[in-house]
Amino acid sequence: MIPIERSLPESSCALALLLLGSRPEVTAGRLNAVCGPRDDRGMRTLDREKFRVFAPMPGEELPDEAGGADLVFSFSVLEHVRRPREFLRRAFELTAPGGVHVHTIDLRDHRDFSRPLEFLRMTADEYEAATGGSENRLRSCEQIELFREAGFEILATRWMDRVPSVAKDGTTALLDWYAARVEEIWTAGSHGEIHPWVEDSTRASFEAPWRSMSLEELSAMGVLVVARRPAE
Amino acid sequence: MLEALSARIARLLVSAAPRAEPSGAQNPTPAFDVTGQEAGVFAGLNDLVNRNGSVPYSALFVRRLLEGALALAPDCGVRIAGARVLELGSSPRPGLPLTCLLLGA
Repeated sequence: MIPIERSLPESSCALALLLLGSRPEVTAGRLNAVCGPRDDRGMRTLDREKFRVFAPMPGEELPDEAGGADLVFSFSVLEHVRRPREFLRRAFELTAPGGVHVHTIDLRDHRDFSRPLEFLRMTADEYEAATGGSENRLRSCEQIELFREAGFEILATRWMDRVPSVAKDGTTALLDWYAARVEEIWTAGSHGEIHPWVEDSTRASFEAPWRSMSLEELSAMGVLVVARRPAE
Repeated sequence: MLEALSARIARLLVSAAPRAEPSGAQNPTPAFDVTGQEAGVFAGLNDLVNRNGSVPYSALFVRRLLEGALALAPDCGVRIAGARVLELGSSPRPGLPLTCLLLGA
C-alpha cells in the first residue's frame, strides 16, 4: 500500500507527473512507448525524456515547462489544496486551449471516514490545531465555483451522496470500489439528484458557514468535476 | 459500451488484486485473454506489481482514471492517446507512473 500524506507542508499540490511531447510516437495500448527496457531484474523504468516529475512542489508554482497539457487529472487531491483559487488559476494557465480536466474530490473528514462530517463541527482554529489543516473543507459547490472563477467551462459533474463503505481498519474498502459500477459510486448526476441523508439536527451542530448550507450540499461526500479550458 | 468496458476492466482489476506479490514478482498472467484497450491496462498493472507490489492501491487509481477518461472520450472529443498529460497529486513521494496507464485507455 502506498502511503499517502494527508497533510501538506505549505500549500496545495506536491506531486506532478508530466508526459512530454509524445504525439508522434505514442499510440493507444502501447505502454512501451513511455517505458524503457526491462533491467536485469525484469523491471521497467520510465523514459525520463517523456516523463518529468516536479515533486515536491506546490501546484501553484509549477513551472511553464509543465504547460500545454491536453489532460490534467487528480484523484483526492483538490480537497487538500490550501490556496485553491491560486492553484486553479495556475492549472488553467498550464492547460492547453481546449484541454480538459478530470478531478475527483473527496469531501470527507479524512481522520475517520466513518464520521465523514465531523470536521465541520470545528472552528478554523480548532481544525488547524487538530490536523494542521489537512483538508480545506470546501464543499462541492464551492469547489465547482472555483473552477468557473479560474476560467474553466464545466463539462460534467457527478456527486457521491452516500457514505462509502469503510474497511475494518477505517480505510476505504478498495475491493468494494473495484467491483462497483461508476454510477454506484458517483450516484447523483446533478446537484438536484443528491439524496440528503444529513439531518437538520446534525446540520445545527456544524460551525458557520456549514450550518447554513443545504442538506443536499452537506450530504455530498465527493464530487467528480470535468472541466475544460475554452478553446481560443 | 462504455459501461460494459468499465465492468470488464473492473473484473480485471479484481482478478489482478489477489495476484499482487512482493516486489520483484514478475508477470502475474491474467487467467483469460485481454485484448485491445485492456491489454494496455494490464501491462501497466503488471509493471506496477513488478516495481513495488502496490497493485491494490494502484488499481484503484487506474479504475478511477479509466472511468474519467472513458467517460470523457465520447462526450468531449478528448483523445487520450498521445495527449500531453499533467497529473496532480498530494503525496511528496512520487513513485508510480500513473499517467502512463492512460496510454492503455
